Amino acid sequence: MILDQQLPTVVTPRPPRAVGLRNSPLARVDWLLVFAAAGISVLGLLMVYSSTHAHVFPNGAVIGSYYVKRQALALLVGLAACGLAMAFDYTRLRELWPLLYGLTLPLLLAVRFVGQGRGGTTAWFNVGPFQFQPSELAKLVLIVSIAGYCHQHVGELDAWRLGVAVVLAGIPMALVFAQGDLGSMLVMGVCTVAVLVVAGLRPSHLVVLLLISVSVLGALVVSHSFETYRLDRLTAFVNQNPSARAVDLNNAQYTLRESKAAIQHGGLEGQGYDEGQLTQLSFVPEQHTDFIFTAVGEELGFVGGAVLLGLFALLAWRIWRIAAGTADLFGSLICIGLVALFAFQVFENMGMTMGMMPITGIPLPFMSYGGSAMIAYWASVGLVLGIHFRR
Amino acid sequence: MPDTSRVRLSIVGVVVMALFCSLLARLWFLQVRNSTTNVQINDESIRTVHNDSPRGLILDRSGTVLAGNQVVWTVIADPALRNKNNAKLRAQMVPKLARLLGESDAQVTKALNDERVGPLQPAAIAQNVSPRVRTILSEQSHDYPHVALQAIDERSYPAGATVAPQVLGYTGLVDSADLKRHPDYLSNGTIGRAGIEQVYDSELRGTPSTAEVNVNPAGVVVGSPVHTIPGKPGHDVQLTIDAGVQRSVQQSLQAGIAQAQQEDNVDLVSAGFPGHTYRAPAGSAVVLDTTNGNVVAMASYPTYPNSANISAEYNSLMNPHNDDPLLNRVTSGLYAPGSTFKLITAQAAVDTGTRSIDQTIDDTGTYTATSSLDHKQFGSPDKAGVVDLQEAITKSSDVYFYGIGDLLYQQWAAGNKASGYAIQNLARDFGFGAKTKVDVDESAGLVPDAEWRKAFVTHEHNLGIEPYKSNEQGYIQWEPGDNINLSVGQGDLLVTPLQLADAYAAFANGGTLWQPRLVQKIVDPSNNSAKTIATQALRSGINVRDDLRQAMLQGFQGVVQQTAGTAYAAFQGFNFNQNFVYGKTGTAQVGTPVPQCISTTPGHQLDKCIGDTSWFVGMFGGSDQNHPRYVVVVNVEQGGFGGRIAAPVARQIIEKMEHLPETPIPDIPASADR
Repeated sequence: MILDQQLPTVVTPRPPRAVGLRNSPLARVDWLLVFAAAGISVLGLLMVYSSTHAHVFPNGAVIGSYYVKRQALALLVGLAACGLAMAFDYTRLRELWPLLYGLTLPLLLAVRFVGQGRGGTTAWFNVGPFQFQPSELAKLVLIVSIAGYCHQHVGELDAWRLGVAVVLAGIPMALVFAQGDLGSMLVMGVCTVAVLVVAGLRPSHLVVLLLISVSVLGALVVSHSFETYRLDRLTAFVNQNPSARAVDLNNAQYTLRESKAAIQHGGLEGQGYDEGQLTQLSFVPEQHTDFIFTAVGEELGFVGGAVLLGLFALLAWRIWRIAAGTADLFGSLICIGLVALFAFQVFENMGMTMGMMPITGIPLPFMSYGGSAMIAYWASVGLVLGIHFRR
Repeated sequence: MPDTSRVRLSIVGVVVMALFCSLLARLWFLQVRNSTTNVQINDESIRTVHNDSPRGLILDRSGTVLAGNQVVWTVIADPALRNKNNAKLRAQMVPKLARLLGESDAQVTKALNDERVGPLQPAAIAQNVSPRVRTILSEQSHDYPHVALQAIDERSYPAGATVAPQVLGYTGLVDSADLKRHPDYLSNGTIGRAGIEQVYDSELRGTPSTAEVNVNPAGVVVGSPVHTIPGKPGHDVQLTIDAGVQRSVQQSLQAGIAQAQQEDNVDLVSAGFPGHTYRAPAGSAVVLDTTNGNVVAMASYPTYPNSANISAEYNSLMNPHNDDPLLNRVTSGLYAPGSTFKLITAQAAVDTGTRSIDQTIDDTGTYTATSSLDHKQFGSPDKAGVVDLQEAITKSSDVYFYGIGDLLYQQWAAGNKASGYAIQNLARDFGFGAKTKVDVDESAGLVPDAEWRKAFVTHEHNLGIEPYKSNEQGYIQWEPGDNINLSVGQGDLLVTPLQLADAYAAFANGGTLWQPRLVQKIVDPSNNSAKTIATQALRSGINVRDDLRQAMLQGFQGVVQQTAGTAYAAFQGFNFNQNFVYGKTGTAQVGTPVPQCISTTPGHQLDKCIGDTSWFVGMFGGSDQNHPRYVVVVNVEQGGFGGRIAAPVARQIIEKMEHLPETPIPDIPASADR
């Protein structure tokens, strides 16, 4: 890292704990990573506003800036969480991860019984005027836990230990699935595999693991563990018939078609911010949450979509770079888990809006409306910055 | 970090890069290769649209449509054009629409931005557009994207906008308070707000139709509805009113009021302020069928034109200087009836034995109350001389009736409640002091007695209001003067013209007090089945001794036929050999003109002055002279003498109904009779 005294001096650093000015903490922050996350967050605020302000609540009141204000508040809390996570010495997580893991499981279990939900899921707790969605926290905790377990047994990842890791991952995945959140379960699975691969998983074990995953998924489908509507969402992208009449489509097919129509409507340059007809007329369901990318697609076009994709690529690259640059395997494993987390979520979320992935309830990181996810992702960024800081 | 780890890290990196590349490729494919800058018309969604069915008709007694429906063509703009952010579209469309509709750009923009309509709802930008606009919009629709024509059912008034507005009432748009009371009403629907439209709203409104329509992403309906559930039109309401009679009653009333406004105000002359005419701002007229209580005509002045869009006239209708045109004065106007109330006092006197029919009284023009507590003088403008009951009615001798009120008061003071309240009890038997239960809103009126007075004064006192005229001790107690005033229809007595007409109808038909009826039938147009609204007697068998009844009838006949009759002048030239008429005039004092209300500013002199209410009640028609078929009641506020102002109006109405040549009101000879 080259960045040092050239940094703006208006920001007064806290008194250095151990080193002099040359090793100021600010000089050891990966500013490109921060830039990428902040850029996506700000774009997210703009799109949440554009896709909600002209709409009305069920009681007829105009939404106006209601959602964007709450999202901005979440961003501020997220930035604070980022700072705290960065200041925290992540190496202590090597010993602390079982505690975190143990605390998260009851939360996931409790939300099944006392939580609130929508569209067949029970995914969050009401905390005053806000909602807390434990599955977002669980993703992060699971990555840290698998990384911690693999770090303890580095070089000894035999079939037995692999089995323990699979059970470690399987319990929260099952709980999340029980909430009706198939998407988060998949994300957890992908992150686990990514950490295991870098931790030294043998190729033969990887093949077995993938086969087991596919069989379990298939068994879930065949055994009617899914309600019809959820199966519709998974299969909608397979049956895309652009000339079908709206009345003949199920909800998922309708959502997907409107979603694609909005993106196609954007063209190269987009319809202009706040001027997308489909966006402004509320044609895409859940647009400010899971389908926020359709607003980008319609209003900012291919140019805007590519820039957003570029920012996500920058984010992933910087985290990957930190994973490669740290001497500590534990930190490296956490980073690679987070690369997988962000990359897979972006791929799955954008992919479903464009009809190349099944529809699952996965938010677009830093973009989709939702406070728990925003705070968890910024905490993740803080964790990565801390790893970089102590490399 | 071991090399194997580096290799494995690179594998993850490559996979991630591949995922991002495939996303970018897919984005390129969708947005550049396959972009649809015009939103496809087949991107439709289904919306359910509810529409009110045509409202039921309001018909007159013979089926003439008083309130019907007409299709009004409205231009609506879709949400895309209503979105203020669509500046390009706005700049292109607004001037074009303004030219088409003959409005300014600002007017069109204002209609587009109407905040009463939700941002995702289409909004009406022009109503009742001309056939030319309709042709252009339907034939050149591609030149006018984002706007559409919509046919809306609206109230129309084929029998004339002026016919019986206060009876028919009006409709308005459903608001949130209505929706709370009637969750089944459509938020974009209409609701009856006054008159028959309000009272019979549940009959008049139909069942809404439901249509599932395809709308494109811009919110515009595409093609014909996918699925419709037809609604049911509302039921027709057939009134007892005769449109022809109603029209001429309104005209006569208006002409009479115009006449009063040109006459010298003699009250002001005698108070020393000559040169003023009557203000006569308002009046009413009603014709009742005495055989069944049917309302044949019901007119109230000032009036307003019937309109589907009454709220456009809100400011003028609600302006206090316009004397409340919305008020139906026949049912809701409260007045002192003056001498017309002698109908009751005369019977009370004979029933209680206070006076015999033949007993004579010398009317010298003043009456001194016999009570030892109160020796007030009661004046009368005319000296009727020596009169019996019949002559007292004909000449409207106040002194004759003052004595009745006074003597009955003595009975009350002596503890004889039955005789003491003879006037009050009989008044209530004839329907005064209670609602007539007519179909539309009405006032109950007031028949005063000692108990009412005590309750009223206590109530005022509890509100911190000193008793009215607290300097006059007499007002707090029930005093002889109160009963004396009551005997000639003055004081605290309040009646509606409809109550008065109903009371005379009960006298005319021999003792049945009908519930006045405005609606006779409700017809379901889908199968023509009719529900008849039965006539209802509020009270029957009200007993009037025959000799008394004959004496009173002769007295009422004398009013119009004898030279001493108070409406003799107004009925000069009327052929009584062919058509019989009984009448009673009334001139009810409402305050007295005082110098303070006379200002030197022309045009404003009389605003604060209160003048006499001019009354006339006529009984006429049918073949049985002893049981007249119809009662007509006319009153004019601040109009002066009953015989001078109200009687000529009633004469015209009688002539109309009896198919006689109508006598123009200004040609009717002047008289100063009360």
